[in-house]
Amino acid sequence: MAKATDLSITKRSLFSWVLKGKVSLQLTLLVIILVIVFLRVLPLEIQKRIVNDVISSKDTSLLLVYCLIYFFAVSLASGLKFVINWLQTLIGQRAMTEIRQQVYSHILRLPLSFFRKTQAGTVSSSLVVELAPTADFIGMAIAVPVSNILTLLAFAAYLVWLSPLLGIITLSIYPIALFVIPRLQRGANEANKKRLEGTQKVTNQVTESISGIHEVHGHGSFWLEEQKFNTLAKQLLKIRIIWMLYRYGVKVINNLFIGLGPVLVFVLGGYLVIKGEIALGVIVAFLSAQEKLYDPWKELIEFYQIYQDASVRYKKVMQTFAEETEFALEQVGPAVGEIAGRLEVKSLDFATESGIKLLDNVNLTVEAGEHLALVGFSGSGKSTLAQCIGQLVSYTRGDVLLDGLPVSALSKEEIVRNVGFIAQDSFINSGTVDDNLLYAVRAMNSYNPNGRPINEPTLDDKITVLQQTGLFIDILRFGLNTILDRDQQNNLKEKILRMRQNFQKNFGQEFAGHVEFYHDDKYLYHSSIAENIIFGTPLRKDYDLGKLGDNRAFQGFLDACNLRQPLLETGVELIRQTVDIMGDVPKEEFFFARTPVRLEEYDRCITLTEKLRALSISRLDDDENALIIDTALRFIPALHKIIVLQPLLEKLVLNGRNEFRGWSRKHVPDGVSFYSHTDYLGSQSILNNIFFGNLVSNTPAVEDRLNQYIVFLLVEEDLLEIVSAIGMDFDVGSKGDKLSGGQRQKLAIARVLLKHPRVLIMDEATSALDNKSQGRIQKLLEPMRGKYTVISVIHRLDMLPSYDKVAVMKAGKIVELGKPGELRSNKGVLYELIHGKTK
Amino acid sequence: MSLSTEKPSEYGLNRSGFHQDLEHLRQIPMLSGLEYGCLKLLAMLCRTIDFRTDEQLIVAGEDNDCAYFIVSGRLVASYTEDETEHAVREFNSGHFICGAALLGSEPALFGLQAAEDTKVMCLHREEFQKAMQKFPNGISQIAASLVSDLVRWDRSMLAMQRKTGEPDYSSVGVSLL
Repeated sequence: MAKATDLSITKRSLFSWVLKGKVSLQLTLLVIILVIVFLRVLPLEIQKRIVNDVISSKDTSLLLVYCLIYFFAVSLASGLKFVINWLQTLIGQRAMTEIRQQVYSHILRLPLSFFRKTQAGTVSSSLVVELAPTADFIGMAIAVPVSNILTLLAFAAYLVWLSPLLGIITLSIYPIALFVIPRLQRGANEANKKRLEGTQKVTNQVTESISGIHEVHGHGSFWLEEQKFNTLAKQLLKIRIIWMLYRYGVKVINNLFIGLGPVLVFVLGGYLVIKGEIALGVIVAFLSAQEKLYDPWKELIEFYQIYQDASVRYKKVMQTFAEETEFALEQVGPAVGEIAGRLEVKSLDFATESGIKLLDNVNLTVEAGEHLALVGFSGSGKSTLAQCIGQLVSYTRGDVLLDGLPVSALSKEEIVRNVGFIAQDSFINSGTVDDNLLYAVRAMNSYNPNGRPINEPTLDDKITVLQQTGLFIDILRFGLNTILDRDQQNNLKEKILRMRQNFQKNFGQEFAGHVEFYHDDKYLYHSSIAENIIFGTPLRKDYDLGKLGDNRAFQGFLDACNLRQPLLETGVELIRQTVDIMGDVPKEEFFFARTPVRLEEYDRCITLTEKLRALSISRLDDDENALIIDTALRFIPALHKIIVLQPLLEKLVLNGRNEFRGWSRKHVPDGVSFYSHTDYLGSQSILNNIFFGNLVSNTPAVEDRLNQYIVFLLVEEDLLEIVSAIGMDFDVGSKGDKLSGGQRQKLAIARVLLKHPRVLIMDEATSALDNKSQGRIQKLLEPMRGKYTVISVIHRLDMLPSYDKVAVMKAGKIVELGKPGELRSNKGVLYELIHGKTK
Repeated sequence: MSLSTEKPSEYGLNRSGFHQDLEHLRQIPMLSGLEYGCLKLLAMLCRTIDFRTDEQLIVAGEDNDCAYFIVSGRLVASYTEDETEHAVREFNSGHFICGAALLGSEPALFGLQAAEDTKVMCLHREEFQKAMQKFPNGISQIAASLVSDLVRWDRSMLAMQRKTGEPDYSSVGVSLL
């Protein structure tokens, strides 16, 4: 029995968040508001008493008492106002976070069909931008209206108490304002809607003209395009003026009503004082109270506008996500337990929202442990069928039965425990290789930690699955390319030094042509300029290779050996070229692999390039100079081909290297440990330490040989597991963009295999792999025959003999089903698929 | 084969590897219609590789994910049937081959080998497709260029058949695809 999830989130009203879980905070707020209202009125009474009683009686001690009370009331009111603001923020932000968490949780569980019609940008902007004003509203929802209405009422009551006639006449303007202002606001809202539509039209027109600018130039149709734009711009002008008039109208009418108050007080109050019906102090208190009416009134009007805005946005966001999830998440009642993996598909239909049938009366049986291949032309429904079986989409008719249980009725928990799904475009999360490897297992354990959790895989388990999927050598390479922490793993470093000796002794000769060895007198084209100058391992943080641009002493050294100016020119050229080539390139690490400009510095580089159009390098500030120098110091000629390394700079760098040894011994004796054949090079990767140089060739043939030798050396030193564990800490970048397509797909396969699902569904899961890797995965599936059920959507038809059954699909139907050999000899659709249509 | 590191003396040249590769890209009909900005990005992303004589660039049956522009040297494409290798075509300096590999993944029908020491400019599918995300209009330009190539191919095949005197048109018609 599957437990239904709470789907009411999108149906909740905005007001429901005001009190939920915040009653005590809201009550505290109310108490403070009551106190503050009293403290706001108190000074008015004190004011009146000072004018009416104290001045006439000339009682200075009473004057002092009243002044102290006045001071106390004003100070306390200010302090409490701060507390109210703090409480408002706390309530608003808590509610905001809660709404975001619950809405996001709801969004993640929405059907896949929702995400086909909704862009990722819409989801994130709804969550981040559109919901933000609701925090303001919820924080204010009680405090602002209650405090301001109470203040208004208190002042109104006080005015009536002071002089009933004058009070009632003065207050009579507010009901009129309450009648007029909402009407004006409605007009403003309408005009605002038209403004948004008008702006969209103008935007579309501009986009169209600019996209087809070559046509505009070709036809010389400048005036035609201008005319289209001008017509829309004039329409927008009218709309905007009306909108602004309404907006200002609200303000003006509000100010008018507020301004009329004192006029009435002077006219009527003055008359009553002259007649001797009220005292002068009453008029003073009256004018003060009336002036103070303005603030709560203004705040109420602003609150009204914030409410309108928040309400519109909140409704829009909730409407966007007002869909229900297709499957229950957790199992309630007795667990289904581990299934055998028998699969039955009965009269299965899947239709899109528009009624197009992607699957039409599909029938199929796969016995537990059988391997089934799904083949067919593009769009034949293979992936849709795989997704129906894996409970990724909800079918519209018929059933998919897993050990006799309908997949549609099973909870997500039972599905993820028993079924592993590998998609063609597997998504890799940011984080490390290890995080991604454990993703499926952790997801499975997250359902019910007290239920049937499986132990997190051990390092051996992970290495095994990496080897099975052919990813192990890549992970090992990540480990070998790691720069170890300065003060850690000394034991490991000693072993690596022994590996260096063994490499030189056994394989040095063979790889001599493929390694650029570190040599005091040779320029390293596969190293950065900074590495070429320092030619050692920085021991102090301020001499870290990435921080030399900020190091004043090092800048002095560059000046002394005439390196500063050529480095500045090189850096500027690198930045200019990068900005020119990349333009507004997406902010992805991938594009920055061939330039010394860093992704995080790119925006600064764009600004700098603009600045350098008008200024010379000498006019730049220290930060800009540091950016340029750092960029130049990161320049690796063999990698960053956007500029050439000038011979003069190369010569100066080599001279600089010699100078630096003497200079650093004198100025920073503890700053750098120079490269030595007998020392571990802390600034270099494990691999470069083994070679005592840089690998300059990465051809498949050389790589294969090298991998064999390195694995041999690592095994010899008992380092294989340690280095692969280091490799598993490799950060794969955003969406795994530091991995190749093949590596991403192998990782996606490995993470599912780690959880040992009874039913494995592979939806073209090896399409990004080369033949060798596909063969390896296929070989991996062989021993699973008879134990694990495999459903595999494949496009490589030469793999068919590895399957027990093949289902050939065409236009949403299974047109052939049987053993691969039988179907081939029948010379039907499968034969046609393999050999092409015969005459 | 080795990744070209451009020997030290070549660093003295004023033209960077980037500019040379940009020139090469502009000579490739399939890519020459792309925006200049797109070509510059591709020129930054592609690599120059030196293959020694007999080194294999593509193994038949493998997924080749690279397109090659021959800067210097000579390559031979071959087809293997019943363990017998048949030379199909030779490609020389200035030829651009395997452009379709940039668009999709399919096992290669032909092997490709260096007939002599050869320098190629190599553009990977992943790099190309990433660049196309930034310049999405480029895909339609490339598709149009491929369609023209198919028609040109059929025309030349038809002309070839006509020359034989006893034309057999059953194997032409790739542009009908």
